[in-house]
Amino acid sequence: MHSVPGLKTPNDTGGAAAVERLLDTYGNEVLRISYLYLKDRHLAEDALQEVFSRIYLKLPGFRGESSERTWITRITINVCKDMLRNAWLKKVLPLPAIKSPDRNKAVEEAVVAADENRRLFEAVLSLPTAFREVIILYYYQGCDTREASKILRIAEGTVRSRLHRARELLKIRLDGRVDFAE
Amino acid sequence: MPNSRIDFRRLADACLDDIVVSEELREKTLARCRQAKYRRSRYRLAAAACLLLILGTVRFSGLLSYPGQPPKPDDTGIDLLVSPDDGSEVLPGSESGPMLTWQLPTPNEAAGCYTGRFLTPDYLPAGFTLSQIRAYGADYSAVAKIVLTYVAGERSFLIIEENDSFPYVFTDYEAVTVNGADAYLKSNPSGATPPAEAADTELHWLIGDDHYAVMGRLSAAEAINIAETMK
Repeated sequence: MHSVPGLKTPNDTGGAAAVERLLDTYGNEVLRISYLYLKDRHLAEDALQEVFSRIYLKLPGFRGESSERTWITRITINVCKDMLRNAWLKKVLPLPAIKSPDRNKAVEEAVVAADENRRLFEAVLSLPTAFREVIILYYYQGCDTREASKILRIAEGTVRSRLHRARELLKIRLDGRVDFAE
Repeated sequence: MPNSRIDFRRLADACLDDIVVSEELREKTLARCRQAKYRRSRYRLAAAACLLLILGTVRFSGLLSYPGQPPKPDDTGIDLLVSPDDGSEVLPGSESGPMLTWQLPTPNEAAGCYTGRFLTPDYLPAGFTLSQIRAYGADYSAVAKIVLTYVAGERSFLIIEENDSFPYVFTDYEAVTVNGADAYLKSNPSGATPPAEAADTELHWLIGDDHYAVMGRLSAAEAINIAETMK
């Protein structure tokens, strides 16, 4: 069991303070996971608001059986999934606006590396959702396969096979120039 | 190129370094939390008031006074009047206000509260069963959207039925027909050489103000077959 400081019912100021603390601690992470999932900044901001509304309402039911980070990640993934299921949203998702590499650094190697990194980042964003979400959890959130299986509510073996397929796809899309460690 | 999970985190964060919670977004989020709490209280009160009203009406009209048979508290027929704690959620607001979502137990319940023409398929690909019916609407009596989820092992697909006048535009879709109506199909293989049924397929068609869609891990032929049996 993990300790959950400041988590009381949302009726009281303790609950509001807890949400503020969680927002300050995990807000950027939730926003970035949402962006990786939804590939759009405005949608990611909508997702952030929805995630913390749900957190606020669910605080009294949070028993600390998982870490609060895992709990929040699960809520984030669920919110993003709900948003992706939305028919019109699904068909209008734009291509990600990726930050251009900073050419002012001017060191050729750094520019090449930044380009390579950007290509990899774009390749991850272009993966089908089922593969992208395991990559986000495993490589971005640092979850192990067991934790990812709990968050996604799928079998651990499915997480492993999706990770394997995702790595293969990335390797193909990046002409074999990437090899994610397992 | 990155070769570990730490590297991916670092490079992703570098690409996302302007994706941060601004002060304005922080305030909007906290305000939304307070609003969500208020809305939940309001729905709880409304549900409780409806329940009291129904119980009061039933009591005074003597409808439950069966001789020798005590009334069952579960027979009030108010399944839809569940509070948000019982599975419904408040979704981000639209132009017409906040959207609620909750689960429905049967297709008949869905047909009874959906504002459009509710259709179910007579054909399902082998192994698929209905696993969930979700309703979306501004309130429990005006369901503007129904989402049916069908599952077979690790494959799943959704049937979405939506009653609105949203001006859909389908670009990059193949034009097909479903029971004589114009329909729009998109089917993408999900892997390098997948079997046809592992494709990600979307099929949309419109009948008046009703928008129907079949989408998920299906072949194009399966999606069309499903749609053709929704009459």
